[in-house]
Amino acid sequence: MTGGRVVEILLVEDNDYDAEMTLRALQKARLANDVFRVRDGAGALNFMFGTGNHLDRATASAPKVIFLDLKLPKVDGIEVLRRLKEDPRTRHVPVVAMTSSDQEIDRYETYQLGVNSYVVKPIEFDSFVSAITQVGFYWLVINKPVETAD
Amino acid sequence: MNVAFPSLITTLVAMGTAAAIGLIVLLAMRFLARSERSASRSRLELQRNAETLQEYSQRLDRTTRENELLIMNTIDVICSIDRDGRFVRVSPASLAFWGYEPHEIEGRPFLEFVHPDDREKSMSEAALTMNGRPAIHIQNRYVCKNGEIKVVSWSGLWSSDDELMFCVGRDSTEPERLRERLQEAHDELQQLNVDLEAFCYSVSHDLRAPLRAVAGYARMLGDELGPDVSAEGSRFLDVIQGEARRMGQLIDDLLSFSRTGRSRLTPAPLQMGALFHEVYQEVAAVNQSRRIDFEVQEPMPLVLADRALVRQVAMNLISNAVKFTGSKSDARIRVVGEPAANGLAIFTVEDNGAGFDPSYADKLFGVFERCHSEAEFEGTGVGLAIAKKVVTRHGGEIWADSVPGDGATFRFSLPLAPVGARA
Repeated sequence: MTGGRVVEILLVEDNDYDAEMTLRALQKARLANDVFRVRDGAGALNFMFGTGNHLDRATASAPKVIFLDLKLPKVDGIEVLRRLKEDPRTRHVPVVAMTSSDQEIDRYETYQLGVNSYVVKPIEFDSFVSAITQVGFYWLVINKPVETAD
Repeated sequence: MNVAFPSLITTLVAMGTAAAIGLIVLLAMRFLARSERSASRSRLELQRNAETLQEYSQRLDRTTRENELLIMNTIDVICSIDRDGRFVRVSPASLAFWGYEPHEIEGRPFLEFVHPDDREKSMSEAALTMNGRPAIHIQNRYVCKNGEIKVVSWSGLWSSDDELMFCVGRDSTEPERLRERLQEAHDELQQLNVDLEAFCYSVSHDLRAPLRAVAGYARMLGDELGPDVSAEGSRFLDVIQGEARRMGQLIDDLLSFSRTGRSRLTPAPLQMGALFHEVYQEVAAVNQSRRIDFEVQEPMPLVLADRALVRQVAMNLISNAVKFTGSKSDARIRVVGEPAANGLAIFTVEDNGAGFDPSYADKLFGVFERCHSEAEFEGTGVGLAIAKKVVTRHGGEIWADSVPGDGATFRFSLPLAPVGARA
């Protein structure tokens, strides 16, 4: 339950270790205060649309950015992206696709669907931290979002 | 005068009449003579016409006989079909082909003999042909008397003078079977490729995630321990991270090798000189401390090749040359290109670096084959395997020679661009 809590980053990640490393990277950059993590695509959609176990959530207060792993159980990342970009309530929320492997077809498809950024998670920890920090800093600090849904 | 006047007139009239009669007689005689001549000429012409007609008739007989012989002896299926779609005449070869007697087939609708699944298509094709559009390579299946199904490829045209459709068909059963088998093999291969693609996808994804955790947690452990970690402990953590990174590189290279073999080849005229310069600039940018005497001998022959793939070849050879000249203070790399036999051009990349044992020259291009230890020169041993695959796919060859300690020479060939082509 997230209730009235303000969430800045919605982290959609099924891998616990990736999630922990992402959080640690964000903590180091002091960007981890308002991160909410879901483990699969269905959870992401419930969170964003205030359905399922997120009935109490006001969909009007959207996160500043969604970090979306592409390979997810239940509903996969591409499908989550499609549903978010199709819906006028969520279309304006920036989505950063985070993937383990660079696939031309994924890159093409996600951009077709309107992804805002596509990041390949590096294996080396320094590069990983640097990538997460840069992406987090850009979307939370530099980028100016739409305040409410249209 | 009065009396004499009429008699003069009479005389004059008489004289005139005589002259007129004479003229008429003369004309009549001339006409008769001409008619006589023309009649004999007509007779001659008639005779000549009769001869020509006979000659034509003989020629027609001969042609008919020859055509008949051709039809009788041809191995193709030849038949005529009337407007109702009934066989009128069927050549002997057709009868043998289908296994019927003439009375079993002539006068019967051709559709009866067509495979049930092909009847509709055959009917509409026949209707089109009867409306004046000649049929070319129309294919349908027939059921022979012994139940065998045969594929026939037809051409046909409608003759409105004869009210008949004349058809020539060829047995395409075997070619069609081969084509189907080829199609099956092709589909199977395509499915295998799709499977391989999916496999590579999951390899790159599923293998990279744990490696990221191995490297990441080793690093986080180091951070947790902070200054408490011993020098030895710190070295162990570095090894874990370094090896995780190397395995990540291996996976990437292996995938890139696999992709090189499957990606579509799009050859276009390519300036190799410019390509080598571009690649060298990129390699030099990450080796800024190095002083290398790099030279590309221009002009180079224009080749017909896939730029993105050949760029990988140039990249692998140039970065190898840069890597293996690392210990030389007077590092030198020369690139030469020249036209050779069989429409190929040969390119040479020569360095004065560490070189390799020439007895391993063949093994050099295998996947994960390395001639040096990881400690001497880092690398996964996939670069030259990729280069070989690219060059081979272009119909060229790649080979190498070396004097250990005195440099290596790599040569590869690519097809020359057609004369007059421009990059």
